[in-house]
Amino acid sequence: MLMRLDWDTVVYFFPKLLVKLPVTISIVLVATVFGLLLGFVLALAQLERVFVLRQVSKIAVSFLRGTPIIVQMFLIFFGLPLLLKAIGLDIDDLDKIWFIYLTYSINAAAFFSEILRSSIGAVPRAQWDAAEGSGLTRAQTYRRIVLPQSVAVALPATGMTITSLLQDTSLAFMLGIVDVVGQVKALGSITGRLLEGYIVAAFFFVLLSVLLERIFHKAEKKVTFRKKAT
Amino acid sequence: MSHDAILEVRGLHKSFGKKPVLTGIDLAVEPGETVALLGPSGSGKTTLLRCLNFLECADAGTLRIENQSVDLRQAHKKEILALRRRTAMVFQNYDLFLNKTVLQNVTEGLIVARKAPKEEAIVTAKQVLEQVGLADRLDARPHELSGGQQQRVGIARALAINPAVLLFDEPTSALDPEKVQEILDLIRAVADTGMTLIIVTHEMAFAYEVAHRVVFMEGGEIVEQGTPQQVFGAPKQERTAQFLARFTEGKTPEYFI
Ligand SMILES: Nc1ncnc2c1ncn2[C@@H]1O[C@H](COP(=O)(O)OP(=O)(O)O)[C@@H](O)[C@H]1O
Ligand SMILES: [Mg+2]
Repeated sequence: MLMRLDWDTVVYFFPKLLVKLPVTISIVLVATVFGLLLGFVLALAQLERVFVLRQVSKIAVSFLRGTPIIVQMFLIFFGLPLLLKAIGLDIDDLDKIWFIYLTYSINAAAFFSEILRSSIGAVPRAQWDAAEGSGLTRAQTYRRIVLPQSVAVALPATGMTITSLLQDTSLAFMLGIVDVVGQVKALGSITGRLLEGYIVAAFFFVLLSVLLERIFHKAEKKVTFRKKAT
Repeated sequence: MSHDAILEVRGLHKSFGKKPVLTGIDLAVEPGETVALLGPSGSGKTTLLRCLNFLECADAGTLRIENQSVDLRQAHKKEILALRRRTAMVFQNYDLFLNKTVLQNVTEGLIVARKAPKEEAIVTAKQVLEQVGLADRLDARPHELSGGQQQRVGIARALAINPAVLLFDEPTSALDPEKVQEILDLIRAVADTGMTLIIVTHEMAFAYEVAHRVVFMEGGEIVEQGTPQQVFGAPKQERTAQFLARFTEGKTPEYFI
């Protein structure tokens, strides 16, 4: 089927996709917040060599990094209800978006944990010695000395991970989520026009990516306190 | 040894893997004493200081600082933290907190570790920074300072917590030669205030002039100790004499006597 670009249809799609932007953004936000939290726990389990948890964390991270997110999505969508049913919990009525939030959060956690692990590892050993030698506890050393320094190292990779997370949300429609891409699909089958929909979707994705890039660029500038230090 | 010692370590052993690095260190330091720790590279001087500050966990031995003593083999986290807060370390590479200003570097241990009220900590920090001659750089970041200035902050940071014993690990080894003397002068001024110091150094003239006692280490043990006059002037052990000879080469023997 040969299509000509129809500008009226582009204009028609624009507001219809705009209202679905919050769905896309909510997936990114939820996955970023919970991904960072869980990722930090995973990273700590490895850095602090916590008994057993350390191995669990390693295996989970390589599984999550080594399988496509769409596989993880369906594993969770079909597998989790079965698992929970076994312990007497029925989640059949749960909105699908929660499966998406969960999938994207743990997927992001794997990537964030690797970023955090290496950026915490990049803080010189001597900074630990100086802090603990000053009488700070290990937790205080993390909070006040090590983490603030690793933020500067972690920011660029974090920005990239969130950007690819944004791109990955384009798969959520496979569960029937009506985000920006899901809306293109839905309206496409009604209007018979897809190209216009994808053009508008592309515009929104570029917009969000550029916005993310801007935010992280600003943030990086703000936290680079050590230009000469090694 | 002595009951009046402010710091006393007995039978300290430490290995890295299978490699013994400290093999039974006994050392007692009197209040107000300045002890210079000498010895060739790799003799375990840094490791000894780090064990006293619990940056390394010793394998065996006992440590007493003031009225608190602990069996190093089975020290609890709480005991370690409490004992550690009785000492402060000045590092060879300064190791200031890179994300903190000069003032914050000094207040950090006071506010966070010792729970001092913030205003009080700032007053104390300003006092010691004045003492080390950096009262005008309170808001500078470590990377904006010269090595000599960074080490002044390192010394201020250690002084601020008013430790029972101040530990220096080659505090001038990383400095430009022309900055060495001013830091040594500062350390001498600190020693003159009656603080207790253990200082690892290769500055023999400084050790001779400032230390009350010189301890010579080699191969993970204390080979010889005594007053600077004894150790420099008439070393009892061949190994001490050989080590010192390398530093006094070309200089007249009277240099140290
Ligand atoms: N973290 C470590 N792991 C393994 N070996 C170490 C470590 N730190 C020091 N050593 C070894 O212990 C010995 C004593 O080192 P050190 O205490 O630094 O000596 P010094 O300060 O007298 O030069 C050296 O042989 C050194 O290689
Ligand atoms: Mg050393």
